[in-house]
Amino acid sequence: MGMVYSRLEEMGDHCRGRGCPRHADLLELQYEIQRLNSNLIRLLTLYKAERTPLKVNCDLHNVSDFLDEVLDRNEPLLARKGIAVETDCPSDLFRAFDKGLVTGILDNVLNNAFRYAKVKVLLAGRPEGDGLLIEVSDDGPGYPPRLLMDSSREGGIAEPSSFLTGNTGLGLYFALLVARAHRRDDREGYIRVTNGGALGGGCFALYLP
Amino acid sequence: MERGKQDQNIQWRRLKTLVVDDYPDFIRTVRGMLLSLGLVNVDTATSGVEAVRLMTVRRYDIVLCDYNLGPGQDGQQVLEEARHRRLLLPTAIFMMVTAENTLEMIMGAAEYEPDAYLIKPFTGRTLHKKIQNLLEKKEALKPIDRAIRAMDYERALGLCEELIARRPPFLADLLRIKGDVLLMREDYEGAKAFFKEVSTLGRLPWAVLGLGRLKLREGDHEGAKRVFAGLIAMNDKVMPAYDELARTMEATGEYGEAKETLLKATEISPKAIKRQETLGRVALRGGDLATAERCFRETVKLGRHSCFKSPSHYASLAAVLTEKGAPEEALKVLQEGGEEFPRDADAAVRLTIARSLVYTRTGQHDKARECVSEALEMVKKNPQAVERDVTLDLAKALMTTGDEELGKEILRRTVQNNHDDAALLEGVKAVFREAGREEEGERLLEEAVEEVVAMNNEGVRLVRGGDLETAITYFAKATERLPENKLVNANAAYAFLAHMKEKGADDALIVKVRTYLSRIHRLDPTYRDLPKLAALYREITNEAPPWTTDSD
Repeated sequence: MGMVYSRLEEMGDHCRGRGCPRHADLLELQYEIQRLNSNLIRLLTLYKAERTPLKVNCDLHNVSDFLDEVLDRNEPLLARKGIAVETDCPSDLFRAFDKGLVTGILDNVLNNAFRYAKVKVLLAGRPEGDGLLIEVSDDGPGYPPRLLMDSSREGGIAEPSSFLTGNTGLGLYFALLVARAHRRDDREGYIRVTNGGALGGGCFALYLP
Repeated sequence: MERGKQDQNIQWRRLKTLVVDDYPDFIRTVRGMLLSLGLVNVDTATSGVEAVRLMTVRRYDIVLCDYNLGPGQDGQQVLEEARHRRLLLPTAIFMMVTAENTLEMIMGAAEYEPDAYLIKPFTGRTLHKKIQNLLEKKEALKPIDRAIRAMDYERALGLCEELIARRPPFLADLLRIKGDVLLMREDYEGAKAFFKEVSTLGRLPWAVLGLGRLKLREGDHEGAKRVFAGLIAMNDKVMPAYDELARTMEATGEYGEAKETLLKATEISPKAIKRQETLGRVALRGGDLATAERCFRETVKLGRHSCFKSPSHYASLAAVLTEKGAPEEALKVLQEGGEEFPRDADAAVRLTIARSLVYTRTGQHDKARECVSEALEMVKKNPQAVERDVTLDLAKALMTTGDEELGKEILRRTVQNNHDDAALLEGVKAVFREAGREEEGERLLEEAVEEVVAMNNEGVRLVRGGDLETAITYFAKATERLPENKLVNANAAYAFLAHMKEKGADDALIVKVRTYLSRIHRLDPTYRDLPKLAALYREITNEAPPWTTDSD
């Protein structure tokens, strides 16, 4: 799928270079491919998590570098649709987390921004005590009410079963599982989905202890 | 190049790069990215064999290698061969390119890890940043790396702390290196405190692993097992945790549990050849012939394109097959082994000895004897080409085919060259035990060791008495008699250095010391007294110890 994506990118560039109006269609295709790819990988992770608890392979990472890497992966597609992505994170912030799993969450949120953001997305990281808070906010219409949640609060989320039966979305279910699998002492990670964030649109927050 | 201007420290034009992929379109894309970063020396290869060949003729600064290279070597095997054969300078970067879904399979799979993984698809900007970060990191770590190789751990530690205080992006690597250095300089209390301190930053697998290893050192097997098992429960991809756990279980006689642990590890990372071999050995010890056979078959298969292929994989497989009653197949496997290692004296000896064992086991004693004398001839003709653990096999074969005196003489030599190597002495005892002559073995061992110890003590007495002139003559002779004995070589080096400290440096004597130190380092790079001798050598010659100069 990575190959299809790269080829589409080349074709898109070629089309645009010659002023062909259909390059926008290719962009849509690229978006769909990326979505399909990350859905598949999440499904695989969830499938494994069904049998044994989700394993978290933590290591110490520089958060700013990590967010830049996520940005680099997602920015080209967003930029071509006229959406600017910025990061905001202190350069000397180090935290321990599972890079692969958290990348999966953020790729998904940024991929959604392709559809919902207008012109701007902000990817921010900051310390929260000795834990880490990552926020992705946009200037779009915000999340529909049924998706709003705060898993840190009692009753702050819909029952897990509704994730699989309803339209709550694979992405958020995956994010919730990953957040909760990050545990330290008696604390565990959580996600928060709100509206009216830093840019006035939707705001997805991930806390990792 | 507007980007190139930002990082003045890196001269992009000078970097020599190699791109490896079996898919020409991908090579073209990556090559384009590199050229637009201002690199001009970009070579390409479409197979592992070609990549390794290029690396033997050019010293690359950067290698970008796809994991999946079609039939033949894969990217991991290219990396292993490059590092194992020292085709890459310590400052070079090796980046493994993978699709996201294969990343999990290859991560932590083997003893060599790439400097970074690049997940397809990636952009020119990602590539640029990764290269820049890695080059900066390598440059910053260079002095630490050099100090570690020279066993100057004080200096390495000081450099680590200096850098840690600046909190660079590669802080995680620095902390890990600091932990390693503390262990290398045998500061176990310091290491323990350090691992506990970094654990407050989060659950870092390497820190937990370090704490487990320290427990093991203290002889707390149960505690170590709990730590390793706990780490695996949290973090199932920390492969060394499985290895340590299995080793601890083996040490406490739990072969079944050790086997289960290694089975889980090989499920997660099936391509690590050494682990398959260990699993085969553990299974065999527990009497599980089926698993042992499967594992040794796997080592043979994995070895085909790997620099870790070894004749002992074929010998082990043949032994299992003989044990299960298929000697014909065993001989066929050994035949195939011979074809895999043409013109390799060490392999020929091992495989011939293995053949003799098959014959002995099936009662064909004449044929067995023939093989043994064949092996013996080969060793005589080419003694340097044969690794030292072959001698045990050879002695065993000699004793089971009737030539006991020669077998014993070989064992005596082996014991005297390795009188402080507990595992090897245990191996010698086992040879006697299997021949039903345990007491005789004990006696031979005792006498042989006593002789070496007496010889050493005499030399040490001379050094202590201040008669350094006589001492160096004495030790020069002793090292001729036992050239492979680490303690004799270490004492010889010390006597020569003490002599020079008193009378001044002397080129002829320095040459001798270099020989002794290189020998010890070749036999055991972690030999206890090596750091102390290296420090003394540095003090007298103002040079780094001999083993660092060849690869610097």
